Amino acid sequence: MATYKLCNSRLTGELCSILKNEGNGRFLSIPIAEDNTDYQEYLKWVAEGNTAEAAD
Amino acid sequence: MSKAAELANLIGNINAGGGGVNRNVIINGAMNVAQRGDVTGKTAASYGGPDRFAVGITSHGTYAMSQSSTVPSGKGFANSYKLDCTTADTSVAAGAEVTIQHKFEGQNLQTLRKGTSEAKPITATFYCRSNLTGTFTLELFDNDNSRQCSKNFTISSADTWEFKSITFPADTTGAFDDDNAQSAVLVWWLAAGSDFTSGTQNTSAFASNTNANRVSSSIVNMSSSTDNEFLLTGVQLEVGQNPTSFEHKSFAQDLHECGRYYQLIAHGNALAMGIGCDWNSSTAELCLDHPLGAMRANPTLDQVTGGNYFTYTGGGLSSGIDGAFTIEHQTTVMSAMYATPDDTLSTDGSSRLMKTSNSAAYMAFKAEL
Repeated sequence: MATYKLCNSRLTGELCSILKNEGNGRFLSIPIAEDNTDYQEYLKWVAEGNTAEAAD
Repeated sequence: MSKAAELANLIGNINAGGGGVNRNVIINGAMNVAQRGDVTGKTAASYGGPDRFAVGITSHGTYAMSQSSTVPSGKGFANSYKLDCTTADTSVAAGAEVTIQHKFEGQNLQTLRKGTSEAKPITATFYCRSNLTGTFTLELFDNDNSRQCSKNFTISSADTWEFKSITFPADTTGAFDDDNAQSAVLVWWLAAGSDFTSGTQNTSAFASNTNANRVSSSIVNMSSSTDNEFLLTGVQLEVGQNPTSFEHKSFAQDLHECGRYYQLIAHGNALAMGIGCDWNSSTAELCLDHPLGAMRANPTLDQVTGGNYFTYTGGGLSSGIDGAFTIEHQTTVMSAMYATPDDTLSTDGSSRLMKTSNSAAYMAFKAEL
């Protein structure tokens, strides 16, 4: 099952992207961009009541 | 088709507001660009094989997608999209689906004048081939207004290329949004459950969507056997009521157009990716242009990583990277990302080469619809 993790900027410390683990070594680093369909899928996942792992 | 008929069709389409160069709104219709390579084991919606063509699978078998060199003879094509059933499912569940899809941005469909009194008919043409004969459905779905129209086509002879031409009627209701989001999708239905077939198929005009009316009740079941495959090439969608000859493009033009949605940076061992710099003692920063140009949206970084899949090297240091790169700053033309090498870095901003160091290493930018 794919999982999401929040990632913060090393420069500002603010949320900069979402890391999705798709398994078998495949990762998606997803930008915070409303017209990115992977980000839209993440928002839908959150709206279903899920919560991403906190940033390091 | 005779030359005279072809010319008459082209003139007819020009009079209808189509024709001319760039008349084909399909990208990579000749299936020449396949940046992801072949893929296997797919049980859900996925890309693989030729760019811009996606498979939709819901609860119905396992599939492989590839770029095939099996093509219709003498038509000027070198490649086709091949969908191959690798695990069968003979029982078609109500919600089952196997489709091939091509998605469109609304801003690329304004020429159709949809939703206005000047709306134009739209003609799809393509070559297809399958061992499975019978009825298939081609659907044009309007995502902005949840409207659709579907037409059927028949494959009559097994393992033989057949040319199909299907015209969808003009739709004066529901304009496409003029933006970079998905406004429509062209769908080849290869299997469908009763959720999509149990109504009266909507074939004559665009109408508000009812799922039960989308697909022929006589549709084949592509998942019935692992012998089954479906090949597709020469796909064209154009304004006008007439089919015209396929508009061939150069590989560079196809690649550039595909690059708006996907750009492969590296796949394999010992491939240069770019120059990074030491951000601090534990972080390497890598800034990459999107080499094929501006993408549809700020892209996702699609990567396959593992122990020492990437190496950050230079100035006497050669440090493996085991984890994922993280997007930090971005526009549609450039991405800055960071990763954590195994060794301690300098704190003076030293620059070093970032390269792959495993045959399975993979990095690409993705801004699909």
